[in-house]
Formats: sequence, structure tokens, C-alpha cells
Amino acid sequence: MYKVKSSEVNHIPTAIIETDKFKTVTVQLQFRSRMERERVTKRNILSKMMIKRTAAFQKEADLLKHLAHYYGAHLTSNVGRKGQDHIVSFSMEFVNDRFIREELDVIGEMCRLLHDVLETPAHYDDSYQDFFNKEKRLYRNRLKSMKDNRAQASFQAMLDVMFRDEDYKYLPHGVLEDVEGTTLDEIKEEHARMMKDDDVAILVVGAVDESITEDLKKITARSAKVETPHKAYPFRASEDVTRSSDTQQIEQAKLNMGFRADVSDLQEQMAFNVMNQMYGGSASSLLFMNIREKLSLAYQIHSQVDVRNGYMFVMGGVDPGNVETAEQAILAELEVLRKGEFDTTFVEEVKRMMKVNRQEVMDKPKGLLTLEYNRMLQEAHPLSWEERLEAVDREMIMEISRKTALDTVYVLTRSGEDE
Amino acid sequence: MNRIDYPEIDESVYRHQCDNGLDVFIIQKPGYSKKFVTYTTKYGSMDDHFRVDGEAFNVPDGIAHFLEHKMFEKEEGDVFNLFSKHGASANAFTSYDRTSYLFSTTESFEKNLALLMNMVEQPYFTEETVAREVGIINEEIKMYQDNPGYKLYFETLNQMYHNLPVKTDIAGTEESISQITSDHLFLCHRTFYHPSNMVLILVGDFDVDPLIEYIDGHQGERNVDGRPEIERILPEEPKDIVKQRSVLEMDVEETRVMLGFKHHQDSTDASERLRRDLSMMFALDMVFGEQSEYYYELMEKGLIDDSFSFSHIEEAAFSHVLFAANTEETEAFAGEIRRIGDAVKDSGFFTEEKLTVQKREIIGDYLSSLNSPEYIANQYTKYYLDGYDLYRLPEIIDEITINEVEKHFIDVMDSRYMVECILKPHE
Repeated sequence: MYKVKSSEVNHIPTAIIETDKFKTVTVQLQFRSRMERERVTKRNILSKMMIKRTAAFQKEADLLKHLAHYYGAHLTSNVGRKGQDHIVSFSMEFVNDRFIREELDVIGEMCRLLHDVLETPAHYDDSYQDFFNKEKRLYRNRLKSMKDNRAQASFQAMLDVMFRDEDYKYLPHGVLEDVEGTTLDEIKEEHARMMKDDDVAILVVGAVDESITEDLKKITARSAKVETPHKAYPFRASEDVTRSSDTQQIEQAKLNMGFRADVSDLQEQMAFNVMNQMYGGSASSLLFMNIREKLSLAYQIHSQVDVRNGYMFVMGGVDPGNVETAEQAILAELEVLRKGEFDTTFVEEVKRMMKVNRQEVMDKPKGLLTLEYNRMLQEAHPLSWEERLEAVDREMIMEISRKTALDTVYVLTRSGEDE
Repeated sequence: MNRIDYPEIDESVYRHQCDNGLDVFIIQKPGYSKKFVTYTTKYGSMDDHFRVDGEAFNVPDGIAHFLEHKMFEKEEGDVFNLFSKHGASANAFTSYDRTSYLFSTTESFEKNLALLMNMVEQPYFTEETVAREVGIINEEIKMYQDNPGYKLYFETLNQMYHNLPVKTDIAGTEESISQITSDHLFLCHRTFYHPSNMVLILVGDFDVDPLIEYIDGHQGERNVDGRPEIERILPEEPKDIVKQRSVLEMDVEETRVMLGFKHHQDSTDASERLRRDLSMMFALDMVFGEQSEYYYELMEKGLIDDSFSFSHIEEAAFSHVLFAANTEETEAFAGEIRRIGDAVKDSGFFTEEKLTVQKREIIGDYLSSLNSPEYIANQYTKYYLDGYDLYRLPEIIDEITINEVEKHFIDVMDSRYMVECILKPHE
């Protein structure tokens, strides 16, 4: 239902995904660099500044009015993590012009605007200082308000403990303590680095054809292709389980468990993915069916994996009196996988569900962009995604679950005075 | 069955009513692999007091949501699991006025559709399974109690509403759900899960005729007859607010404030309510949105940040506007919202030019939402239950005038009916 045309535009790898099932067209740029503490905070502020003011639109309201004129085009920025890398993406989503009853060069104008967005920070001067200060305040507040989300804050606390001397503890959205000392000059320098040194990709999805290439050329250019190898963090074996806890005046305790797995290649990543779905990553998983439905120990209980890096995390909201029971029950379900006490049909069901989920992702513009970008980053492998999934069997599940070891347990629970 | 085409937005819908009264809508999305279905009953958290065929009933708070949980459990086991076996993801949610069950899949569509219909149509409750569910729902209630935004929201509603059940948590309370019995559940299921009180919406790339035939066959085999006459009994709600200001303390980092403007629901006409809803959305965006100078004034004064939000809620039984922000200066924030609300009332602030920009923007947002089968199914259901057609929205948007926008804003933003709720860290 879609065609992908891969090429290079101005020495930048480009994927054009042609499909006419969406009512919008999305142009996305992905900037990839190493995940490092001194970079993430600056890049977060920078990316937000970039989508609010440009050289042509010096006021945020003016830029928004311009986007509204082009039928509510959406300019957004996002940050994320893949393997050891930090990704900053800029997306422009706009209505396919077949729904517009006036002469308007939407694609041309949106690409021109993206050029403006990408170039403007090079001209930041003292007149941007107030704007920068305001963005710092907003960013600080965003990071602070995350602390009032118990599940998120306790998960972050677990990462701090589990990865205390590893870079993984830095979240893609930055470090609160680093905001204050950041200067506008540093932001400008970081922008220059991003434009010059980052591995960049352009992706487009929608009812377009190759003629869009002429418009894409307006966005940005490089004199030569920059390639950064994409890799995962090295495996570090778990030793004794690290335990940590904190208290707040809350009703429900948050139990967070971090696991490490030695995942060596793409096939094993796939097995790890299937294992996670069986363990706690889906509604038919062992944790959902047993911890929630059978034992009524938690309303929320699930596991998630970072397959590239070989980490698995279990998060649950449990009654403060049931934390230990829940932890034991959660670990008992992992034993079920390790001992192979499950039917082969369960593995097949989960694999089938994963195939369905992947097909569903392809019905979303952002889903297609993500799949295509992942494909760009992936090392060559003789088997396709579907073939690798097909190859996963119960032995692989048993093996990868035996290689998955508990590393850290972090509990946020009710403080004593409320007991 | 009849087919309605919407050439302007390139959409088409098939509408059919089964003999037992069930309304079915098939919304075509050519090229999509995904098929998304919602099966919805017009039964939500506000329906705790009702009369069926003349007999009145009062049921515990939270029962619609409790029933939603229980419908997934059958004698043979958990239906969630069966959906997974057939390659589908299922879910459900309860709101003030409806309960929706849904699934999405790219394969074994008929099997999953049958599973959904059977699950929703065939109740199975025992005292034992009901008692077990109390434990899970208690954890759900506790989870929300630890959520500052949720707590602030319900406290604000409690300050606005004297009697309307909108102020009650959709999940009920630990006490109310402990009173629920299997008899209550059977009663509510019999009453509200009757096909004549339900709507089935299917979004995807379908072969329509055999699908309708299949649904008709399934519904025909149920042998459901009679149509219960349901009368929802809502308490009388005074125009006044309950309490102007309150302060809550919680273990949080940041102080939050929510302001509510209660508007007496005086309209019984669905189309009038839709126009007021759209007008208010335009008005609030013009005055407080990121294209407004007032927004940047508040920002410069340090009274708001990214957490600032506003919304207008227009339901058949109630209507209000809410503002929320994380700020230490709660009094100044409330004062500024009130001041700006008054300032625009007689300053020629609302202009055709601003409205035109807003309309273009909203049409773009609307079209991009139509990429999503979930959005279509959920919003089509909501609009249908409220008496509108989601796909006629662009025409109605086009008709909204600047006079309506201004009139509704002045009418709704009446500071005599404003409440202020603050949630701050423990002293």
C-alpha cells in the first residue's frame, strides 16, 4: 500500500514514502548524535527555540498565524533515544493540497519554512536573550512537573540507581541541574555542531512523488555525507540486586524493577522482544493475566524493553502492603519463561499479535516514518523483520529469559505517618 | 442500508439499523490494513438514577465502569486473552454518558467482531468474581488519587456542582464499589445494553454488503425483543456554584490551580449546543491561545508556562469552561484570567480576520485527525450520540459567525459563577 524511494538530497539520505491513504503530508528531519550529558539539555532548549521563532517570524504568534494560514500546518520537535544515540527530530505535518480549494503552494512553503527553522539559530544574538531566558524557565518547569507524576518519577529514580555510573541514566529530555548554567552562546555552538556533525536523515510520507525532491533541496544542504555508526551500550552483567526506596504521602506504591540481558544480535533482539510481550508487554502476558487478573495485586502492571541495549523494566502500581508479594510473584513469572512452562501456542499467539501491531503502525504517518528510519539505522541482516520473528521459538525464549537478570529494584511507597 | 458520501473530505459512510434497533455505521478507509471497531452503549457514570418501563432504580456510584470491567470476564475465562489469540487488541472505557468496547486488528476480522459482540451482549457475573474485581478497581481509584491533576479536576467540579453526578469520580469510591452486587450488574446490563440503546461503528477497508449481512444474522439470532423505555433521572442543579475557593494540600513539588466557569445548561437543542461548543473553542483560542497577545502577557509576567491549558465542555446536562496552570501566584493568575475575560468583552477584540485564521487552522487539524481510525470511531460515536454527524463538521464550522463567538464568550465567562481550586505542597 506504499512505495519507498530512497535517495540522497544535497548529500543527505532521504526516504520518500509514497501513499495516498493519508490526508496529510509529513516532512521529518532526524538529527542523530551520541547521548552525552553536556549535549542533551542544550539540545532540548535549542529544539524548542527553533520551532517557536525564525528569522522571518520574530514573534511566536506570527509563526503560528502563518502555519494556521496554511491550514493548520504543525511544526513540532521531539527528542528520543536509540541505542547509544540521542535523536532530535523536526516534523512538519500539513494538509494534502487536494483538500484545499485555493492556489497555495503548501509543500514549497513548508520546506522553505523548515530551512528558516534550521538556519535561524546561527543568527542568535543579544536580542534573543529574553526569549532564551523564557525558554529556560519553561524547560525547567517541564522537568520539575514530571516529578509530580509518581510513575514517571519513580521510574526515573530507578534508572538513576541502576545506571548510576553509565550514560543511560540521562534521559533524552535532559538534566534539570544543567539548565541554569546554560548560555545562549552554548546553544548557538550546539546548533552549529548539530548542523555540521550530526548524522541527518530526511523522511517524507504522504501523497507525494519524486517531484517533491526539488522542494526538499530547499531545506538544508551538506557538502558531503556525514555517517555516524549506530550502536548499543556494551553489556554489563548484573551482580547483586541493588535495592532502593523512597517514601511519599501517597495511596499506592510504585514498584520498579530493572533487568539486564545479554543481547548479541538482531535475531536475539527479536527473541527478547517476543519474550517481553509474553512476560508483561501485552494484555495476554503472564504479568497481566496473573499479577493483575488472577492475584488482583495491581491495576497497572507491565514490562517494556529497550531491545537494542538489552534492558527490560517492569513497572507496577501496588498496595503498599503487597510490595514484596508482588515482587516475588513477578519474578516467579520470569521463572515460568526460563523453565519453558508455557505452550508453544502462546509463543505463536504473541508473534501473531506483533505482526498485527506492526501492520497497524503502517496505517499511521508517524509509524511509517519510524519504521523507515529504523530501517535506515539497522545493520544489514540476511533475514527480514518478518523472517526473524518467524524464527523465534520456545528454545530461544527460554534462552533469552535465562540471560535476563534482575539488576535493580526501586520502590516508591507510602510514608510511615500515613500507615 | 444507505450510503452517504462526503466528497469534500473524501469519506463515505454506510448506515444500517438492525431489526432489534441496533445502529450500525461502516466508515470506509480504503488502503488501511487496520480495522477498528467500537461497540457503545449510551450508559455512563452519570446514569446512577433511572426509570425503566416506569420503575425507578438507584444504583451505587461507579457501576457503569465496574460493569465495563466485568464484561471481559466470562465463565470460560478472560476475553482479553481470546482477542489476543485472534490477533486483536481490545480495550474499553467509560465516560459520563457512554461505555465503549473496542478492538483493532488486521486479521481474523469476523472472529474478532463476533467475540466483541458476544462479549458485550452476554453477561456473566457471580458474587465471587464481583468481589474479586473490587480489589483491582480499588487500586485504580488509588492510582488516580495519587494523580494531582485528577484530584484537582474533581475537586473543581465539586466546587461547581451541588448535585449533578458529573462531580463524582467515574470509577466511584472505595465505599460505593463495595456495595455493588451481581444483581445490580444484571439490572444495568439488561437495561442499558439493549441493542436499541447501542451503536456499533466499524472503521476500515471493508466489503460492506457481506459485513452487514453478517451483523444482521448475528443480531437476528439473539432474539431480543421489546425496547425498554429508559428515563434518566438527573437531580435539579442550581445555577449557583457550591464554593468559590478551596485549597488542597498534597505531596507535590508544584502548586497548581484550576479555575472553572459554570454555565447553566439551558439548551435542549443539540445543534445549538454544538454551535456553542465550537464558538467557545474559537473564542477561547482567540483570547487565551498561543496566537493571542494576552497569552504572551501572562507568559511575560511568569504566571503561566507550558502547563497552561483551557477547555470548554458542552454536554447535554452541563456546560463549563476550565483553566489550569502550574503557578505559585494563584491569586494573580485568577485575577488576570478574570481581567482578560472582561477586557475583551467590549473592546472589539473579536474580529472576522481572527475567526478566518482559526477556521483554517481547525479544518487542518480536523483533516489530519481523519488519518486515525481510532479518532474517527470515537468521535463519530460521540457526535452521533449527541445528535450530530462528525463528517458534517466542516459545514458547521463554516457557518459559525463572529457574533456567535462573542455572544457565547460573554455569556459563559461570567465571573459570578467562577470557582478557584488550588493544590499545593504540604506546608
